[in-house]
Amino acid sequence: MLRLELDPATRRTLRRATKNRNIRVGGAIVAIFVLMGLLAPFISPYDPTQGNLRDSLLPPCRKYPFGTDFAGRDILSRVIWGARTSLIVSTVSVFIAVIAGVIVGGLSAYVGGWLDEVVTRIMDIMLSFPDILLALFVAAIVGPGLENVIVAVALYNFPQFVRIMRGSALQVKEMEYVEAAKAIGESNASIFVRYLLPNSLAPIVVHATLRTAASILTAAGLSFLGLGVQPPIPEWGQMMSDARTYLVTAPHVWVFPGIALFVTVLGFNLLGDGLNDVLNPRTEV
Amino acid sequence: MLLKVSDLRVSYRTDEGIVRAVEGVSFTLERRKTLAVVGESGSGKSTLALAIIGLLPRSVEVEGSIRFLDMELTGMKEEEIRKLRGDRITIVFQEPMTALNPVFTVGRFMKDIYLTHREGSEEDALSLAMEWLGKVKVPGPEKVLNSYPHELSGGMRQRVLIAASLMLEPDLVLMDEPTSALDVSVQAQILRLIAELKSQVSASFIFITHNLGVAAAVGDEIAVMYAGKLVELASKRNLFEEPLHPYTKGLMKAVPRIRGGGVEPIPGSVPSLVNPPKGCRFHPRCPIADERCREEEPELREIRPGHWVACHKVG
Amino acid sequence: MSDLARYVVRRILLAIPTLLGVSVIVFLMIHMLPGDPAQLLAPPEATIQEVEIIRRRLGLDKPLWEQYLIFMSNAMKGEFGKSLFTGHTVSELLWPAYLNTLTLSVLAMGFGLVIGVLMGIYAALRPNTVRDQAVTSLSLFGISMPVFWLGLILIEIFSVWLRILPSGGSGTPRHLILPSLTLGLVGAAYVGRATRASMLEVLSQEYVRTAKAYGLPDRLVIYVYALRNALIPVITVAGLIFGYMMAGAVLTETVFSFPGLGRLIVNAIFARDYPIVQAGILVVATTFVAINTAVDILYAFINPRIRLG
Ligand SMILES: Nc1ncnc2c1ncn2[C@@H]1O[C@H](COP(=O)(O)OP(=O)(O)OP(=O)(O)O)[C@@H](O)[C@H]1O
Ligand SMILES: [Mg+2]
Repeated sequence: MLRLELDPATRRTLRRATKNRNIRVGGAIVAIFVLMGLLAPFISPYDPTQGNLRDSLLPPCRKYPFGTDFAGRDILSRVIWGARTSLIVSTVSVFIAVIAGVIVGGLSAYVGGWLDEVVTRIMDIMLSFPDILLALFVAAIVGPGLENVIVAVALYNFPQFVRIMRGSALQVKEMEYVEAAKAIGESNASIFVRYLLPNSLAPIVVHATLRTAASILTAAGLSFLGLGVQPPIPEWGQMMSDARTYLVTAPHVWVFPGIALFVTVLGFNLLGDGLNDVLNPRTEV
Repeated sequence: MLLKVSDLRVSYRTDEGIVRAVEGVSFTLERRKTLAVVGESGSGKSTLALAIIGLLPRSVEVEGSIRFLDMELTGMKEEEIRKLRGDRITIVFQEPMTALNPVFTVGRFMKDIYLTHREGSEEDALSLAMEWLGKVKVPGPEKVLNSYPHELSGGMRQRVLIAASLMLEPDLVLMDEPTSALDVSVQAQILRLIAELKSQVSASFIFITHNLGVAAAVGDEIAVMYAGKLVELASKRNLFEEPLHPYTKGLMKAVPRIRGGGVEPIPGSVPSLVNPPKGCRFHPRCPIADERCREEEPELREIRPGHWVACHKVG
Repeated sequence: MSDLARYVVRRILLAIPTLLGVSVIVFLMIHMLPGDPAQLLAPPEATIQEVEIIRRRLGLDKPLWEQYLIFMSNAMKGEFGKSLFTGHTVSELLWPAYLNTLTLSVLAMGFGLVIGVLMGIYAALRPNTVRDQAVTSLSLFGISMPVFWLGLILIEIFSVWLRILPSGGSGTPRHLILPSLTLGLVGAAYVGRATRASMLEVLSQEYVRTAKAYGLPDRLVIYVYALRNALIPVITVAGLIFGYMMAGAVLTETVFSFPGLGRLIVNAIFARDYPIVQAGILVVATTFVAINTAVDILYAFINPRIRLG
């Protein structure tokens, strides 16, 4: 049954959330980004993959507000569709990483012993490939393409969520009510769902938001290098990949996708920071 | 006269409103004397000390006058009062565990104090520091000098801070509950040490405590504070022989005694300083309060030479 | 042995299994790729016989663990075989590129640390004022900035408009300015955030009040007593950021056509020149682990409390 009254603590958190400026601004940007991704077919003025070679590299004008690329494709339309690509890559890869991270991290902490030891070691090893390098390594093995970028970015996020889940599960595990639940014979699965998971929710939500920002950047980076999403699928990083050629002649080619990318990432970072302030009040100044 | 505080008022601005933490406090302090300030938690004792040494944040309003030597401390320029701090006026805080910088040795801290206020070499600084560590009776002053705070016990750290507070032979030493955070056995040692050192230096002390027993052990004069106000001020002898204010009497019943007589805490608690009670601030908890106490604020009056009290029912 | 020495030894020993793990993963790359490793490591035009020769010469017919041992003993000597296409040995290509990237990262790091720490202190000294908000927003902008886009913007400004700096290439110190500025600005954003947070925390500590209570001058209290403590967590962040810079160099180097390790790796991935990819990734990861180990040790020197732990 759906319960509509919220307990006072939740209501207080919600009220603080709606007042938080970072959440408001970040949330608005994220909402626009998501809408752009979802509604791309309806709001983009042109087909993002079809160009008119006679209109190649036009600067912004009335017909093409953001100008056109070398193939004469409308950059505005490609920016709008690019949101869809980023949305898919980032949400799917973060989603996979969260699920896998929660299971592995939770089990590792809950079971403990050698399993925990092994998991921790493997995560240390994965985290030894800094930042984009792990994604790059995976991309080198699996090759370019939309699905492969998702795999690469998910793997790059995975150890982070294992760490967080493991950390908060370790805390909860020692709590008296968990001991009590065990003593009265509650099943492990039920303890996991009823105690470990809810307690880890706040840091995971915060981190998932921040990792979405990082994932958008990483995926765009891979595509910028040519190791990610391939043309003709519109993708912001990939749209900038031959920017060097157009530094002097047509900066609009890389300026607009860059703005879209920057603002979107900023939105997720703002939202993540705001959520962190609201959900983990002790870090507040 | 070393220190003369007149009609001191301190108020903090908070979200709940203005907290009048010190409200019209006046007293004087002679050289080589110790004033013990007693009162329950929240009565404004620490605020008083911080006001004297000029450590309150700039946003806090301080009115009235604090005359020290020939200087007026309220409204003094930060740079000038900074030079007095650590040199002419020093303070020992309640919490020795966190009062020392974790990344520096004791020696480094004491050396920095010396070099801030004196022309002299590092060797002078360290030898003076060592001398004082000896005087506060730490075992192995040389070793302590090279120790980091985490290597020392709470009692040891408080000894270090006491040494730091006396090292430059200040005129005024403020001690804000210097033993409250320590183990009971250590408390007694530190109190004994302070009593001993007092006779060796020429400083005056303001010793803050919530324990009347401790106040009796160290104070020449005792000031009793309640809800930001001074309610009674007298020599130790007068105060203990004839406490006048009902609050002081209540405190005396609340002091644990070694022999006989159980502890009788004063019923009720310190009122909010945002909206203090009208009239005498103590009246809601006072056993003998009457109509006048509820309406009219009592002045601090000198009932007998050297014995001041703020109560309508006295005299 | 002193506590500190013991800690240092333990910390170094702790890095070894991690590095072994990294090397195993990198080694396995060639086996994780679809297809026959010998075929992958042979030039495209090789005949079946030639592939067999390569298989034997590289020991690819031996059991996996033996291959790993060979790989490792060579790697320890800094040898990673030959590039499949260029005719050079991997080391000939690897070390100069590594040196370039290292120079770039160190410069960027220096830049990021100086700017970031100053920004963080500046903000923390007046929390919740306009200047604090300005610094906080700027840091968030920096963190959200695609590093390759920032690079393009800087090229547009300094090379296209002002024409005072080269837009790419290498060879003179001037070529290092824009790439290291690009990476450094992003690094500064991270360092600034970390410094601000930890400085705020430290300034509210009792020992800072004690220092003030003893009349120590502001510059001593802030820049020595407080900062020394505030930098402890920043050092850890800096270690992570250095890794970020080594990795982020992949993008920056591409933007600036800078002949560093990142570009070498990316080009090798395109060319399927796997020995170079393996060597490059192994070297970056090893550097990262080494830096973090060094940071932890430095941490122990600065923070006397953890030596016991
Ligand atoms: N920085 C501050 N901002 C706002 N209010 C404050 C501040 N410091 C103290 N107060 C308030 O001022 C009043 C007096 O506090 P103070 O610390 O001076 O009391 P105290 O007698 O030293 O108490 P304790 O025995 O607990 O140390 C209290 O009501 C306290 O809440
Ligand atoms: Mg106090």
